Amino acid sequence: MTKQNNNDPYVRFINVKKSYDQKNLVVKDFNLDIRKGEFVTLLGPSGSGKTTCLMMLAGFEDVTSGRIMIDGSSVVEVAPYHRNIGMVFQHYALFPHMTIGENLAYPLKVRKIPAKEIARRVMETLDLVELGAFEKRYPGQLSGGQQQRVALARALIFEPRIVLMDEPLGALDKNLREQMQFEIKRLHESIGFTAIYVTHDQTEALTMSDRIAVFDDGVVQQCATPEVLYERPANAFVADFIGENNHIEGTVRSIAGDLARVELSDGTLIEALNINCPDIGEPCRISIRPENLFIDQPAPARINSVSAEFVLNLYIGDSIHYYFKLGSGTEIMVKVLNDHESPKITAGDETHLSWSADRGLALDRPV
Amino acid sequence: MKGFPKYYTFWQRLGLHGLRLTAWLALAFLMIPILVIIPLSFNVEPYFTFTDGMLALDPGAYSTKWYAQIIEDDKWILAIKNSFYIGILATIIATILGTTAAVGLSNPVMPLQRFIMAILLSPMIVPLIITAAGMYFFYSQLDMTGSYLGVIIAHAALGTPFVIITVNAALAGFDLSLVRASMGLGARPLYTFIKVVMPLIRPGVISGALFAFITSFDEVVLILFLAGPEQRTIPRQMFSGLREQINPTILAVATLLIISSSLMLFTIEYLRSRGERIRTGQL
Repeated sequence: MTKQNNNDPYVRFINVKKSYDQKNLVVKDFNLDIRKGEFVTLLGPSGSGKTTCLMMLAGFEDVTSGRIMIDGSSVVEVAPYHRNIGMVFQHYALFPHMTIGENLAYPLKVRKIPAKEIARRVMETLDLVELGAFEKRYPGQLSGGQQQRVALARALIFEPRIVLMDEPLGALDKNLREQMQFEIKRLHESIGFTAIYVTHDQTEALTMSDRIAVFDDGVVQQCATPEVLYERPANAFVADFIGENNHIEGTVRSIAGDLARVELSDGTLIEALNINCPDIGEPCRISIRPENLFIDQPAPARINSVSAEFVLNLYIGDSIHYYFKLGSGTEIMVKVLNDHESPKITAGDETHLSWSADRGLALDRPV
Repeated sequence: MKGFPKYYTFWQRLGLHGLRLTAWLALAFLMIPILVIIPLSFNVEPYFTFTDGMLALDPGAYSTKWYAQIIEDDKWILAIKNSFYIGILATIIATILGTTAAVGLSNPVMPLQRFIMAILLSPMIVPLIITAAGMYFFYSQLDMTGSYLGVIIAHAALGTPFVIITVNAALAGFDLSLVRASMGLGARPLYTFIKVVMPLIRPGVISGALFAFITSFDEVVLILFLAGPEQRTIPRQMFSGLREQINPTILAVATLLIISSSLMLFTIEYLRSRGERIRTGQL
């Protein structure tokens, strides 16, 4: 997934801090290096500071302290109109009084490119986003998805150094969103621009990005590839924010290298990967993905097992979600593919849930 | 007139008919004093009343001589010229000042927005006679009474609040991310203002300018205080016409004013609805 050929950072955030009121920091000590051509997503709940970081890079917000470098030089003192960064906004921000063609021509006209060249590039770019027939229309006559494709085309047409996208698909419905994700990914693959994408939708982040920086409370909790984020989250916040997770509370009994031994409230001892497990004797949280749990299948490889009471199942279609209750009252969800192996059980049945030691993560307990 | 919903009772129907009647009466109350002037301006007799001949629709009882008299009278020609000269220059000043003020006040970083807004709108609220008296004493110090410049500045001050209000309203629906988008695409602030902000608030600017022009065009109090005989405008001329020689020339001028004002009003409405259609994509 990562591109090894060019490892020099192209965009660098160095100790960036941002405060609007000189009291509270919205962004606390943000550090991130982005390589040329990389697709990096800033993911986090609203108010976590991710959009502010994007706005600081674009030049619409001042940096309170720290530095932002592009291609080796600081851009903090550079005006937004000199930064040469393309931007796609959540609500498209197309100029409503200009036709689609005029919207696309705008950044080229500003750069005093000859009219002939402008006309050629406008048509070329419109074809790229498959809107060749819409040059003479006004933005108000286009659907949301079409408008966002125009916005994307406008952000690409002047061949900017970087393309920023601030929740560009937030205003679209689910089907259109998936189409546009594909579209953006296709354009990124074919043109190879450096992209920084902001979203609060983790599925979107997982499917599109080379790397994802997970934000919470103005701090990057983890920055890694989608696989690492999903399978080896750095802490309880990331584990919880990315995908679904089951939590079982326990107490640390021993730590041996990678493995932590944890005692659950009913006395069961289980083994889990030590991620950021607290000291022996401290409370901790075991985090297990719903697809890594097995129902009533004693197998030697999966050494962890707890007894649980079946509550109900939800029929999703491609999968079935089974809900269980542990003796301690903790609710556990197990995701099973909807094939002939999906178990048939009735409510109230006692059964066993098992998982292998490397699928359970021993994490700190968030306060 | 669509029928009433079937569940309406007799009294509801009666009430609604009453409401319609009242609305029409209110409209008539507003319009009749204006409309009645138009036929009277064609009176062949030098009176402000309908003659028997007029009521009988006798063609001989009508004439356009009062219109001819406007053209023949140097005083009226000067007044018309003055009205347009002062009105147009005052409108240009008011539009520039009002638009820049409204744009500046709409910026979220602007401190004391409400306070400054209140001060800028005060010429609209303070009784005109007070403004006029104040300006008179102020201008006397500067020796500016009886000058075109003085009258134009005074009228610009009266017109500015109208421009501020209409441009401010136009900016209320303005998406600030358009400015960011423009700058991100490489446009400097001035270019952004001319190419993006201005076209979108233009309906507001134009209606503000028309209001400012009309304000100057039918303003008489400030003129009475500040203008000399050289700066007589149409309303000032009508005012003295009413006192000195009562004849329907005034009505002929009034008719012309009614027609030109209506034209302006239709222009405002046309531009406004056109801007609306572009923005909602129905054009």
